[in-house]
Amino acid sequence: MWLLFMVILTGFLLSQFAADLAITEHRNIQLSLLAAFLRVSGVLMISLLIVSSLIREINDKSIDIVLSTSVSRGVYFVAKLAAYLLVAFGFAALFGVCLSFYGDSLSVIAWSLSYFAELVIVTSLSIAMVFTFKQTPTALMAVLIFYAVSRNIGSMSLIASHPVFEQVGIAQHFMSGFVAFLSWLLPDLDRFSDTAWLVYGVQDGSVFITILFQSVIYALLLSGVALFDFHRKNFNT
Amino acid sequence: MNQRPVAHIPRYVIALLVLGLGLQLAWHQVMRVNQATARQLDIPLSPTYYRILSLNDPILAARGLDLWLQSFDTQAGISIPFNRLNYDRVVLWLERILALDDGDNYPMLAAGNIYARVNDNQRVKKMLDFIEQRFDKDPGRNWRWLADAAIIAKHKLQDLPLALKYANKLSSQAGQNIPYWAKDLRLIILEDMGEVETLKTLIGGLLAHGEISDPYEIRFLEHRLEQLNAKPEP
Repeated sequence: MWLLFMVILTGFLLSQFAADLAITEHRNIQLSLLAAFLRVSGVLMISLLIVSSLIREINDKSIDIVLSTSVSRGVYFVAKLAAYLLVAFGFAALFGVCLSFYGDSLSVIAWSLSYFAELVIVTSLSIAMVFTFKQTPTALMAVLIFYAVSRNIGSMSLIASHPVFEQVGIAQHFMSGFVAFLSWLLPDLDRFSDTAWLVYGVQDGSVFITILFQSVIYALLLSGVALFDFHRKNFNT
Repeated sequence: MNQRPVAHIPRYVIALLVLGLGLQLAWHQVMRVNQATARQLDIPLSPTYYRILSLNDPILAARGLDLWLQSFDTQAGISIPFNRLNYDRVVLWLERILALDDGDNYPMLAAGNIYARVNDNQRVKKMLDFIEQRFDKDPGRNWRWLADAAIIAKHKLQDLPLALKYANKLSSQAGQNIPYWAKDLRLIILEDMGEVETLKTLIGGLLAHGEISDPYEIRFLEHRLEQLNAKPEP
């Protein structure tokens, strides 16, 4: 809770400082900086929370106690996912309240809903990575790399498919093929929580359907991955 | 935690995994033909912002902006031809990058070799003006880009007076350290313009005044003068 408070305070101070430097468009600068800062901080906090708490449960064997009762692994997973999604919703709502000091309410609501959809993917991913890697640093690093690549995959695949110079080497062919392959597997997160909505307003509401579908599809895929690894773990030895 | 065999995994989990992967691939295929909308270049912010954003590392900011500007023609799902970019803004961005790092050759190279290669003479001219302005600010550093500009003016714009203007600037303002091919560009352009008498006078003057010390350049100019003198009068 203290961390959350500190993050929000730092975001407000940083954006206020930047706006004070500006000679014009103070509100837009403040809004975009605060949104960018809160977005990344929220992803960091939620992934850190999920990874560390689940790893602790695995290490202190409390997960073994739960699974030794009549609770199935599927139910345990769904309960955990639901609980963390509730926390994620709280983050998105709280950040929305912070942004509403500077932005108009409709844009802020749109941004917050989209940010929640983004956090749904991050939450599912964090749980999946815990069951896959079983260690905090590795799982956390995997989540952050995944997030960074997913937010840039649209630009990366466009740059790879439109090189400035003609491709000559095997390495360049490999890299453009690899980026194209990644773009099939990763969610296009750069469509989510667009700062332009806050600054210029939401121009096209259909983008929310895209975001909603992508979020649900990817949460399903990551739940499949997490459950697959979860069912393979033997907690009783 | 030991691994249990795959056979322990319930079928619904496998089905969920396959369903999720299948939906993701299908979704990607659907979204590949995405709503592409081209947007124009915005006006750049002041260099101070980019310094702050790069944690006070202007070189990093300049290099990042180099790449960003270069790839601006390729936006989500669309590729804008360079000749549809707003060149006044492109110039502003190039100047902004050079304000962050004036040793960065990337903007000058991009101006001459990317943005000046479009089939729109007005836009080409804007880039050449930008290169000329940079040359005027620092001839010693930017002479090679003005040489490029002279060649572009001669071959692409086929504007020989403009090419001659650049070539004259090169030989008179760039100092002694530039190679003689660059200094002697004006001789080639004068010949192309059919100004044989002016060319003869110029070469004769250069040789007579002893401004040139390089024996190869002296030999080259003497040879050119002999060839010009041997040419029949038009």
